[in-house]
Amino acid sequence: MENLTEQDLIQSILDGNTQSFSVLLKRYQRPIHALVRQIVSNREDAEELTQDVFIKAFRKLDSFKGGSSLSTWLYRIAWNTAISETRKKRLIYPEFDENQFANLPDETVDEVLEKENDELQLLRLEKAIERLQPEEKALITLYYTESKPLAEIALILNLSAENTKVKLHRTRKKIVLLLNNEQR
Amino acid sequence: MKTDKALQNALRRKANELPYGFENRVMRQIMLEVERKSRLSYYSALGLVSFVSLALIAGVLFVQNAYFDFNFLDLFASIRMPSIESASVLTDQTRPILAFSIYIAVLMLFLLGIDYFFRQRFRKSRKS
Repeated sequence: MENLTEQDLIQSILDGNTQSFSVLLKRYQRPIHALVRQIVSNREDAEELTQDVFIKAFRKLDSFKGGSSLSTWLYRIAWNTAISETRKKRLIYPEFDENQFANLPDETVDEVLEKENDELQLLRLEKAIERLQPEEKALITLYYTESKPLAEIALILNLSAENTKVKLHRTRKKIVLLLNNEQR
Repeated sequence: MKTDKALQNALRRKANELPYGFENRVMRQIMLEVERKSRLSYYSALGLVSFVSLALIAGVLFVQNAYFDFNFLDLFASIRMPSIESASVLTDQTRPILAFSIYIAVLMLFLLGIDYFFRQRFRKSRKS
């Protein structure tokens, strides 16, 4: 059953073979949890929301028409579920003006984000990521952790491909600005 | 594509925190969802059948009332139970009929019992 194609797997679940869902769960639980965990920050909330994502997917599986890949469809459910949760909390995120973005050279960003860090630097990076907006967190998680192409990320986050590219560029800069802010 | 190793490392630390037993918990919820779905479809089917039956009865009563002279309710009102005197129930003539009726009743109960027994066994075997 582990070797079933996506389409066969979906058909098997729709035919009433509920155990096939565990194969789908095994395949996608880690990446979906990684995305949700990054967006909602709280460990318990992330676990509960990931569970909700799979239950929603099970309920709506018959509406999946195959217009995108199953993983994109699942990521979209995860993104919508997690973003609804963060909207309830009305958190305030730090903003930077255009000059600050413009004055930060790309080379500096590359250097900060590329070099292998020590434990302290990793913790600072984690803190900086924590202060990003949910969309920015989702964007970098999908790009760096799940190695998704920009076109697919655009589809998941409901953005244009060009906009996704610009946002990724700005998010990288924003992380460095947050790190610099913390150091002062 | 930029590798941004430091960023990748920071992101991956959180990504691998999936709690132990998560898969079992989700599958339990999925099973509950399946049960809820089947219960829902049973009750919707029951509701639909009841609605259609009531609609048919209402339709028949309406047609009868609007297009026919006789009334069903009058028909029921005219039915009278025959008066049976208790002393005349057990006679030589009625005794064999009574015995036969009791035989049929016991046989029916026996068959219903067997039916119930096998249905239970079938359900148990399907569950296991």
